[in-house]
Amino acid sequence: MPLFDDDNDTSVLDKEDTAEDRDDPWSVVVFDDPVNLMQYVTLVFKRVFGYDDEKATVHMMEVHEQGKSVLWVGQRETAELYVQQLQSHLLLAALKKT
Amino acid sequence: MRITFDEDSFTLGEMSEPEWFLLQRLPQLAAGEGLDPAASSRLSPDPLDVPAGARAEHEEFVEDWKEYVMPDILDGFGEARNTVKSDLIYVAETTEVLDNGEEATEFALRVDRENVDPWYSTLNQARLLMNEAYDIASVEKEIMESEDGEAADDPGKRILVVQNGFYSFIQSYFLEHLMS
Repeated sequence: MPLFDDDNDTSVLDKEDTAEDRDDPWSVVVFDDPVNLMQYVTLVFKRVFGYDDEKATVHMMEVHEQGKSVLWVGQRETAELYVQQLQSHLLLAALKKT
Repeated sequence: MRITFDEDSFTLGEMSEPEWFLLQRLPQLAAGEGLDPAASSRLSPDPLDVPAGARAEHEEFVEDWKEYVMPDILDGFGEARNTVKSDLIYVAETTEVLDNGEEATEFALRVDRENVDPWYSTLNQARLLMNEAYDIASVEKEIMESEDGEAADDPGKRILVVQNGFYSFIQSYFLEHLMS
């Protein structure tokens, strides 16, 4: 089950958004690093996004082989929460304006 | 070392003195002790992936992230390290006299199974910081390529590689048996 509901998300950062920020989708990107074990990266994707094993593995392999993977695209506030969760699991994760 | 588990706990058992030494050092190393302070930046990565030219427009977001979000994340890492530190107190040491009269000491540590995530995190923090400080892959390569050279004689580099492998072995076991 995903940690956050797109229709009822809250931001960890209490700041005002510009209209542009609200309208433009943001991506959650995870980058490859030489330390995190592949099985762990897959596990984190399953825990944070609620992805099944197959989808989580596809993203993990994308990170491993291409250096990064876009895990999720949507509202910025939700993207912030996902990045916070991923960084809490010690993955190299960042927001990217799409 | 031999790792076992049951319904309630896991045990890091049959540890030699060097293995126990490496395990005992884990919370301090994960906190960055003895490492270049710059390595700690790996635990608080940039939250934004934007071109350098576009960073200025997101400066406020980055500042807010550093002020409100990153401290929570770092607190979580600290809590994980404290859990491991508390668990390490309960190590059991046994010394056996061998047939040849020499003594053999073994260490064993039983840990509540619910602490496996903090343990994994702490092992990960330590490996990430070590890699940030020393680039473990290049150290391994250096040692392999110069078996008779200086790198092979550098005990610090050998210990680094052994330590990284030891922590990684425990993490792999956790993933395989306790976390999936």
